[in-house]
Amino acid sequence: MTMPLALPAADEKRVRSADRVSTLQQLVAAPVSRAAVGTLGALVFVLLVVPLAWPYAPHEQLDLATMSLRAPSLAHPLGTDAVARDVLARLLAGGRLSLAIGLASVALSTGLGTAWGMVAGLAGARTDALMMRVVDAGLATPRVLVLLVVLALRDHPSVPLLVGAIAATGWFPQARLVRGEVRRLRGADWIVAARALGVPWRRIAWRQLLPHIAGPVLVTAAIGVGQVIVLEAGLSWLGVGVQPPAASWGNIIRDGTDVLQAAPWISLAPGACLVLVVLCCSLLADGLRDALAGRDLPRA
Amino acid sequence: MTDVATAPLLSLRDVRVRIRTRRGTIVPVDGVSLDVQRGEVVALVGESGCGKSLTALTILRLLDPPMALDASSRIEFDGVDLATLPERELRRVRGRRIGMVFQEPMTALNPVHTVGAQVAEVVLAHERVPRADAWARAVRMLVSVGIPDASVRARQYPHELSGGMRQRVMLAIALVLDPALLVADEPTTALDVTIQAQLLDLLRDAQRTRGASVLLITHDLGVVAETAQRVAVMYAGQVVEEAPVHALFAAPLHPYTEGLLAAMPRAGSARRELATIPGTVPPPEAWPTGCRFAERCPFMWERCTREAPPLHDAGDGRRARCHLVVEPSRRGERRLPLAAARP
Amino acid sequence: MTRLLLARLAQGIAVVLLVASAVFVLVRLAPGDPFATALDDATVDMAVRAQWRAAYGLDGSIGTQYVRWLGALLQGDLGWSTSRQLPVTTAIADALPWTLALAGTATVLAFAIGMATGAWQARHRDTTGDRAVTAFSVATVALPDFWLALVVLLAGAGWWHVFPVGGATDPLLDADASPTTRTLDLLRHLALPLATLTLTMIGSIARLQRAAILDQASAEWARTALAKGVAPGRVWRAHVWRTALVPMATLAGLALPHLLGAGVFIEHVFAWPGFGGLAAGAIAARDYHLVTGCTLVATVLVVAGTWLADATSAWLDPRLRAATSESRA
Repeated sequence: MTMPLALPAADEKRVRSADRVSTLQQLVAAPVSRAAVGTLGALVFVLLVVPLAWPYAPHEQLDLATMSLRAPSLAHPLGTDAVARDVLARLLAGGRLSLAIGLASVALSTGLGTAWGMVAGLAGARTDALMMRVVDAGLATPRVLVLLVVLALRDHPSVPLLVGAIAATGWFPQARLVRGEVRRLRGADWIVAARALGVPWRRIAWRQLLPHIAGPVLVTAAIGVGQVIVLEAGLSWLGVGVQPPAASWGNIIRDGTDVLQAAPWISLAPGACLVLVVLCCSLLADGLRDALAGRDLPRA
Repeated sequence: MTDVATAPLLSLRDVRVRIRTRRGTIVPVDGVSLDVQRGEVVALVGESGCGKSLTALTILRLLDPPMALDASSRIEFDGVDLATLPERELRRVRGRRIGMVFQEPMTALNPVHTVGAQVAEVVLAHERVPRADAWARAVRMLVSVGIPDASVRARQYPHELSGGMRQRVMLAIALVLDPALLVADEPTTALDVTIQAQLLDLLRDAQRTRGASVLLITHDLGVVAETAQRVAVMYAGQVVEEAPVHALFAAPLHPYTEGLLAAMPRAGSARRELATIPGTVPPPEAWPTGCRFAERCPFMWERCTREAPPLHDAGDGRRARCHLVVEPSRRGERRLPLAAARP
Repeated sequence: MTRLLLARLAQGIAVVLLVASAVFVLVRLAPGDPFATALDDATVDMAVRAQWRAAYGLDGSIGTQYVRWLGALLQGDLGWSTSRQLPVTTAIADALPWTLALAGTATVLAFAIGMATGAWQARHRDTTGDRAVTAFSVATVALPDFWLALVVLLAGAGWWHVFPVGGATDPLLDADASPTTRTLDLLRHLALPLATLTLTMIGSIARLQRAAILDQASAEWARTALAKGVAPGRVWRAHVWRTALVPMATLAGLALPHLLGAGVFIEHVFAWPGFGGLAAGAIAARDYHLVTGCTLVATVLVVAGTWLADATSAWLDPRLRAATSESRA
């Protein structure tokens, strides 16, 4: 409901470029995003620390005759797979790799998308139109198919190639977002004032625009991490992502698909982890969005 | 029982709005009583946050939860208490016997329907007529509010019209069924001065030719002077002064009104700085006990903070919520208000 | 508005050509070619391979091949599939209807259920029911498509034994079987992939619809309508729900890329003989023409879907009709 006039006017939240502390505070204040941040933190901790203490290695094959496809037990909380490897060890290793791929891809695509969008937003109409045409083309590409083409045609796609390909097909939404924001902010009084004072565009872009767009960009990036992790899992499941014997949540599910009825836990566990991570990422993104809502520039 | 012919058309008695929040109940409209006679224009004046718009919304019961009208409120319209009227019958009053104009025509009009359809909608909501008839009446109404090329305009969407024209459409919507009362909530605030003048002309027209009464909500004293016969001034959720318009401007009784009038910029005035009323309006969460204006009042004395003044009858159709009405001698003791001492 | 839509159409065609060309190049940059894997027999003479390459139009430089391809494209010829020994157009035409049937039904179902759910949620906001549905929506959106497909397969065909394990038809079905039996059989096979695909979309649709309606309900024009004495039913329909439709059209445009992506995985799990499987198989067999053809068709579908969504948005919201392509971003 638009606030009735009789209530006191809400304090206008003026934007300050270095006000990150209060946003962070707001972020952890909301219970849901606090849970999301907490869960993600716990997950990272588990992925990094537990393997140090865990007796089994992800590649280690135990006695094939007796130890394959064991059901979950105390010694092997997630059982063993068809070639007698401890599933939990693989899950932890896979988690580290999947998470790393997710973060790296998103970092790359965010950087590329932001740069592209910034340039397009500040450029003249023709350059902008041309740059956005490329973005439109990118958005229209069927991402999974193109990734399949790039990855499947190589006999052994490497992890850097995987990261690069995912990033190269994923920077378009960020570019469009940044370009839109920059175009909107371009006409703002304080930008015009800075220009009038002779501040060069590069400096304005770095010191004034970037802090403002950082918010929405981070929100998109947060969701992106979840999406990329799922995408990589899917590709690995199809066999074109992370190659065995390296573990990734996706290819563990692939291993489990063949024995789905006999040993469903092999596929279910990594899937549940994926769901958890994606959930946390979207909740985190929501929380970020809410925390940043109060910092919006008052529209002219 | 007063004669129906001389009874006011609209009579607000002790209207109170409560909002339940997590931090307690706040009362942004606190016991407003107001009359609007048939065929007169009454202005309800006050600064932002005083509760005047909310008061206007209560008339047609347009408050959303968690805001609620207090059970003690009475809203008598032509002999019927709107506050307790069943929803179905209230709907027959809305749009047909009481028309309302809102402040922001861009958001008050639905962007996906044509303006003609939105005017015709009022007709169709109350009368069983064929669509073509309703449309024809809508176009005629658009003509009478001064929209050029009305039959073409009627097929356009709100975003294709200028602000002034959109507000005329709002007026057409409010007047198409010839209501007895028009409630206009800051109708000219979003417009520039020349359009403002035209719109006020239309309002006066409505009064003259259709015999409608108008309750005009505004913060602009200039508008009041031009258009209204009687004025009620609101402050902090209450009516603090009520008077015929000339009397109010000539000799205000309440110190707040005095302050408002003094603050109006005058061309040719010798003053270099604009006069202001020191301090700010208290927030509804923290209504002070005693007179709510006391802290900012140059005449305040100890009685003011102790005892909240009722709305005194000062004769000649004038009322003021101030102890000065009963203790006029205190007027001589003018000094700096408490609020002025603080930066 | 027509001018704008035509302009978008032209842009769309340009985009399709751009993307298809990019894939064309990408595919040929990969090591190996159809004849490296199609024939494991190392004894096949180099000359013979060269002959085959020429026959399939795969000789000459990339430039020559591209021009040849472009020329053929303009005549509606997408080339010959080496892996399926069919014209590419035929292979795609055989597979596409299966995908469209699955995706189309899923979209209709998802939007119908999703919008109804969202509307219900908006009316009953903040009740336990509302919160439960939101939790469900958030959860389903977070599920990876292929994993959901596995779970559904496990539950529906593995544990429950109600639905078949895969495919689109029962290969053992009698050739004389009546249309009803055939239809029922088809429906049985369709059920699981349909359920999966629908589930992947319902969550976001419901969430968006709920948000859009709540946004509209507090809009000023709903209050104006009430003040006019309009009946509450009409206020809901014409002023709240109608304006809440606009963002749904945009969402529908986004559904198509999603369907294509998710389709690849889901069709794979359920062995549904659709477009996704065709494309995946083509890639594995290094079937250049088929891969390029598939990507082209997929891009066309995406562009067409976005164009349709734009057109619907403009139809629903008159404010968008005057918009230039600038304001799209």
